[in-house]
Amino acid sequence: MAKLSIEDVRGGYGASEILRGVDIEVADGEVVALLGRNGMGKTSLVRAIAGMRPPALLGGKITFDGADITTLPSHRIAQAGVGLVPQGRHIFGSLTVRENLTVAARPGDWGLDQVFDFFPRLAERATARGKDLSGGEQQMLAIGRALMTNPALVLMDEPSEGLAPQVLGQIRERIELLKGDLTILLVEQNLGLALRTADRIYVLGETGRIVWQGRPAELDADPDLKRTHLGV
Amino acid sequence: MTAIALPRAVSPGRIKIGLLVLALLAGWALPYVAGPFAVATATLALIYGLFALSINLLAGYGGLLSLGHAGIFGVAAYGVGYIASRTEGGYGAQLFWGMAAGLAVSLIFGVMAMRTRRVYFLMVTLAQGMIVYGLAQSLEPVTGAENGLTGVYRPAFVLEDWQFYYLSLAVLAICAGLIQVVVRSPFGLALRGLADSDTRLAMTGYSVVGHRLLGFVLSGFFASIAGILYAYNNEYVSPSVAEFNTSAQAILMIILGGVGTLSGPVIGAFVIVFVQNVLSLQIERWPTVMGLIFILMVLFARNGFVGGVTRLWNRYVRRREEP
Repeated sequence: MAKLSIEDVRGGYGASEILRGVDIEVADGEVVALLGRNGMGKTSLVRAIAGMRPPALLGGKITFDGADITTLPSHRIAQAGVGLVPQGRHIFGSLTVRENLTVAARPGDWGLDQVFDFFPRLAERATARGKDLSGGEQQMLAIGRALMTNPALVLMDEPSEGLAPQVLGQIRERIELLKGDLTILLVEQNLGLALRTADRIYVLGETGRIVWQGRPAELDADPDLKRTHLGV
Repeated sequence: MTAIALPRAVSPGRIKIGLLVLALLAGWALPYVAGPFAVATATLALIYGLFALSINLLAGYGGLLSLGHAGIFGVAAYGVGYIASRTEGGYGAQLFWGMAAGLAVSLIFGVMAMRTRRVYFLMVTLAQGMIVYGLAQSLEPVTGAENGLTGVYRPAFVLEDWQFYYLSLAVLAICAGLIQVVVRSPFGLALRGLADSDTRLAMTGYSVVGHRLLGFVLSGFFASIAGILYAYNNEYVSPSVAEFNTSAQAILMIILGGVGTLSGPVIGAFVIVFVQNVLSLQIERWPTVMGLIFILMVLFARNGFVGGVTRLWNRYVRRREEP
């Protein structure tokens, strides 16, 4: 059974409809990447899944673990087991690293010690305030915070954004380690990260629908597809 | 090379505890060294300090600045006053109804303001304060309107000003301790997270509205305690308790002392209350002095007194550590 299933989701901002019937399925334990150019509605879709408004939802159904979460408020969706690593990190700037993590804590395997083991850099920076962290450290913290909620599914919205290649390598390595234990929907512009970490890939096109889906290797072997829909 | 090694920098935590002990000692010693006027003024500063702390709990940590907290402060004071002057109720009933009225109004105000943010939150809370002030002036059977409520008397064990001073000091110390516990609890972290971003907080599984409401009521709880103390200290409750000026003054205390700190609002309360009550006897133009203090603070210590001192201290420590 699909962990997360998105059926014919439509939505947008005011009069402009961005998502025009999106269908995505993520199976338990799978890492699925959603690719697409800027402005195709990737972040809108993540926000819609996470219960954030806008975008206004005009139709469709989002189910998680078999339960309809389409109209649930954000905190209920989080409680149900959906963790979010938002675009632009969005950690709590005025809280320390440790506080950022403990505030999110929910019972489960992931606790402060486990997150500090997973990201030793965060342990070193435990008493630093969120706003004083580097971009890479903030990204680690955003992932760590999502893990602290002990989610069954993590939505990652462009974790590669604005990271130096070396830092991106570290983050990618961590995401690969999570693979298998965690179901992940990875929304990316960075093709490399998606190709290396994902089991399956969806491409969101200008039509506001999924225009392609398949294995990473198939996408990598199709230069036309990459040029048309991903601009690479 | 220096022959004697400089002592290692003392940890900030120890310094804070040291300062706290010093402040408590000074507070304890005051009635022994100062005259009755200073003691009465200090009592007022303690009460306003607690009131400022209640606003700071919401504003300094939760990022929600209430302009109408004097409404809650005032309702609690009126609760005490009403039972004391219009009924046969004893101290137990006065305290109970003072607190119950304060909490009920906090809950109502909280529900009204929960879904607003930023400037809208300011407007809603401003209106709430105004409503209480308006009712205080017009609801004659309950509030005595302009005449206020007389017949509030201090309990026997705090009849003297110096006794009431110690009571206020103890209540403030206990409340400050409780606030510190709240701020460091997961609830307090979430409250501070709210100030950063409520959607972020929601995505970690917290109900934003629920947390705001709880924060508001908790803040109202402390404002009510301050209002009750005020009623007994003054032995008279009039519409001026619920005035906008009471809220505004408390906010100035927070800004002057340091937003989002525990000692800042209390320090700010002492500065403002003493300038108002002591300086006004010496200098006719004391508001000018107040204004100058604010200009200096804004120029040199934007994070208030506590923020300014912390910055100077950090600079001093750095200079000593550098060779």
